[in-house]
Amino acid sequence: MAVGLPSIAASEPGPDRGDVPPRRQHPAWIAISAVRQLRGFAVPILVLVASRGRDGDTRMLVPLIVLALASVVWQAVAWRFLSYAVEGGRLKVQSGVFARRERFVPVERIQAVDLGETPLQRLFGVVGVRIETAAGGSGQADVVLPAVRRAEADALRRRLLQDRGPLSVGSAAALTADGARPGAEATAEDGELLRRLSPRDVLVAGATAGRIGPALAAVSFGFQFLDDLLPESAWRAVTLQAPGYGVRGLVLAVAVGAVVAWGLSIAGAVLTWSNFELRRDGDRLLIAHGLLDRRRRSVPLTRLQAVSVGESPLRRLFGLAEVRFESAGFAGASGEAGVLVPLLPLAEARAFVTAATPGFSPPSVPALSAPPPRARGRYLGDALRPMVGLLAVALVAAALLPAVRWWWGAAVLVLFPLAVWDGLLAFREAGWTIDDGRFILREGGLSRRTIVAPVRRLQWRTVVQTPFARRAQLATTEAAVASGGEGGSLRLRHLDEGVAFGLLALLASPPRSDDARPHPPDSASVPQSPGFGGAADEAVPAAGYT
Amino acid sequence: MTPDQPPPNNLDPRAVALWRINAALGALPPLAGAAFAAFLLGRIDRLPAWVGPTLVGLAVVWAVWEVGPMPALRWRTWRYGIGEREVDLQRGWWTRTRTLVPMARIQHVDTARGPLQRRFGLASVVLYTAAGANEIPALDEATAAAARERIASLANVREDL
Repeated sequence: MAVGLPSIAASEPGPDRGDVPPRRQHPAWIAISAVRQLRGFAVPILVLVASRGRDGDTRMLVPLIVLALASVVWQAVAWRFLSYAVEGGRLKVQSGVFARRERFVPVERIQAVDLGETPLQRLFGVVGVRIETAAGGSGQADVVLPAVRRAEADALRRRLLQDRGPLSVGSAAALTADGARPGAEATAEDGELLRRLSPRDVLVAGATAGRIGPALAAVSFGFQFLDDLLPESAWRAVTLQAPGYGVRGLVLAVAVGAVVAWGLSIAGAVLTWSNFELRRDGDRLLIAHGLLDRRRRSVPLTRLQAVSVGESPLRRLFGLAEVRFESAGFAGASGEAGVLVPLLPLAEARAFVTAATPGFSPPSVPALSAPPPRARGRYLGDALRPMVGLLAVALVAAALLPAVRWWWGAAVLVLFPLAVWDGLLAFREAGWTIDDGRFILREGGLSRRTIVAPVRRLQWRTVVQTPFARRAQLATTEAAVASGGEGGSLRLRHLDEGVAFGLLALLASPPRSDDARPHPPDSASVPQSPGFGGAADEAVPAAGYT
Repeated sequence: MTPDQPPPNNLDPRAVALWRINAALGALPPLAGAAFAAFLLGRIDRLPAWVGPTLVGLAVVWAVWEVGPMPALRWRTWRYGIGEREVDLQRGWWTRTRTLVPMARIQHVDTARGPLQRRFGLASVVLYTAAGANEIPALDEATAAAARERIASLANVREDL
């Protein structure tokens, strides 16, 4: 039971080198999780306080305050029963007052370790540790320790990411040190500095982020919400002051919405990406960023599945790009989790990738194989299909609205040229090659992404063909690397059929050195496909390979 | 490899009957929904009278298609093979999808049997990789168990992701 835990001061190095004896988190855990719980109380309390003005009755507040206090006491009890340890190559987390829960995470399954500091955590000199596992998808994939002393967190991170060789003197001292060292010193990272963002870079990153589109949508939704809320008289007042409100007001609203969305995007980038630093320490990447909520993320290079260079439409205009990585961790984490560098000049991207993630640098002159010319129409079709759907929806919507004629819906036709352009660009940009055991793919349109993934990292691969495509002898090839997010799919649309199926064979994992192991006896009852994939490495169809 | 060489094995023929029952059960909520929507639409005076019945008609046609020809078509186009190095799957009567999963990438393999599948003596084999799961949906129980054992032994290589 947790009551028998040795106190932090008394903890000694475990029997096995690298073991961390069971320890509790900093008592700040109580405050941090109480705050998290009390957020739930905030709304009822505010409502009560606001309504108090009418009858002056405050008695209703008493049970709420009692509940809040009880929650703090409960957190204090829970804290005593919470411990973490590293034992025999596993991270062990114990929790639960009545129902004890023990979680074991094998160290070799850990994909990355994140250290985060909210202002509250900084107040107590603790950091939140988030341990990413490869459990993929399921909600409880990650272990979260919200209040670990800074020095301990650094040492734990080193231990969990399996530094080569024995623990360094510094980290061993940190593990047995009682309490945190002064903050300034603890935030200093080691390793070679690869990239830093100036405040100007951060602003540019926000201003050119591809998020403007979604943000605009959110704002216009808000606008409609407002429309529903405001009484009719208010609208009449507005329309009287703005004659011709129908069109002009709409344009104005969209323009204001766009500016607000843009401002939000810039503010978001400042909050997220200020103080950005990327360092490389041996075979680990250390990514630090954040204005108020600070994060430090450690990603072992051996855990990277793919690296991609992406250009949103605006960034493409200015020759800027973002570099991301795919890793099996970060399931359900926010979009920032896979960012290696939020902004850098495209011209520097290759040198940067070579320095940061050597295995993933694209060849200097990427001679990519392209889909055949007859695929152009299909790329156009892909881009126009959603537009046709949009047109239908707009026509129906306009027909249902009493104020406008049904053909007003045709206004969305102004987007068609953009879609055509997007489709033509997508055809022109699409390309692939296999270089030094790495699958390199470029996909595009108004935005563009070049992704590099080692062939041995591909988890599965597939060819998709509709009857129409079969008649045109075209097919789409897709492969996937392990990824906690959406970016793990590598897709090449409308290749020549022969190339598409040839690629399926080309992307077979190379035989491993330990393939000499005896094959298990084949069970006679199991149907087999003779020699599938085995010959893929030799019998390479030359089609399309540069 | 070309599309002319499909994987060698079919699913168990009993899959067709199983899928028919599943499709019939699955079609009930959409049919009820369509009937309810038709009822609601019928109360709107501005709409022509044929909108509701047409909606129901379309739903019925869809349901008949799903229960009638669809399961047989799906069975005919679903093929699989378990090679030394890869599992080979092909499916889809309209959009044909061919998927290869290397043994070395398979993290674990399950056989799963739902209540209906158990009645038919069928089981599915589910292959988990670090980038999602793939399924062979309806095999005879013994075949499924043997396939699971074979895949497990071929995939049993300790390696990083």
